[in-house]
Amino acid sequence: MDNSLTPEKQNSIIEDALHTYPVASMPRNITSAVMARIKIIPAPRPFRLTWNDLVLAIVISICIGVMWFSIYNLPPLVVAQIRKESILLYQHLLVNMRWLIPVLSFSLAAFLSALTIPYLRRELLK
Amino acid sequence: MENEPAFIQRAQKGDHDAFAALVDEHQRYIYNLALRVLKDENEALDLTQETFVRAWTALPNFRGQSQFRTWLYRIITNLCYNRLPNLRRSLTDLGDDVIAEIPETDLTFDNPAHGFESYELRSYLHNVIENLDENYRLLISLRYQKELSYEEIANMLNLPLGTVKTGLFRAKEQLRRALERYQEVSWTIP
Repeated sequence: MDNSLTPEKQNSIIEDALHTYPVASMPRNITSAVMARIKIIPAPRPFRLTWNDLVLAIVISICIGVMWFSIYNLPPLVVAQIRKESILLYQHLLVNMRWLIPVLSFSLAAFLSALTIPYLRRELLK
Repeated sequence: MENEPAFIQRAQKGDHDAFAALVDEHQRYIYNLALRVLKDENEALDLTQETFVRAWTALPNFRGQSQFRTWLYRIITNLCYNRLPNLRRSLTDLGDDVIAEIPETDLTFDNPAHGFESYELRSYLHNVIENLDENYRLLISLRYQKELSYEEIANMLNLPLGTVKTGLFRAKEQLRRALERYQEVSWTIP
């Protein structure tokens, strides 16, 4: 005698097993542990756009627009003057570069040394 | 949970009591999913806690496009991916080439008691489910315990719909083979 189950019967048994697969119960409630952890996290702040943000955005946009308009509408004589001044400034910078680099390097070294003073002072006073 | 959206709104404004109520309501299901995937009680508890902590920090970004619980499932699944680096690969490796047109099974399945001869057989199959690979356990848990549709699972896991269907189909095939083995053994033993 063939005792094998029909595919429909097999499906039925498998579906039953899947549908009755139990949801595990919690070994302990974790609410208090979670709340203890989130109490040290600042409350979430929803993103909000304020009127201040809007006014600031408008002012910045106007400034950029004015600059753009000015640059493209300056008289040719003024543009030439600006170009001349910028070239002179660049040349001036190149001429003084040999002093600028050592000055910057020594300034940075002095600044970093100064940062160590509080630590050294603490160590000395121990 | 009655009036869950109101609780979520209050929690989004920083109300701890409202969030505690949400944790109370959902922790069992989140824990269950982690346990089914990880098979370790302590790790599952750790990840459940971590899920709610992350949910709290990300709560302002929750816009309610999906259910709150589904959103939590997404967080816990990502944490499981971190804990089991092979899980994501094993899911994508399922492919979607086996059967693309598997019909979605009815979740309102109502199996009559007389159709299931033995309680032992059901327990045996539950045991087989527990010993399936983690990717199958995850899919089964989402489908049958969380009652998510194939589309919801695919969206949540960021997988093609065919992969979800194929994964569940293969899981059932493994159960079918286990069932056949069970029958062979039970009929050979007098």
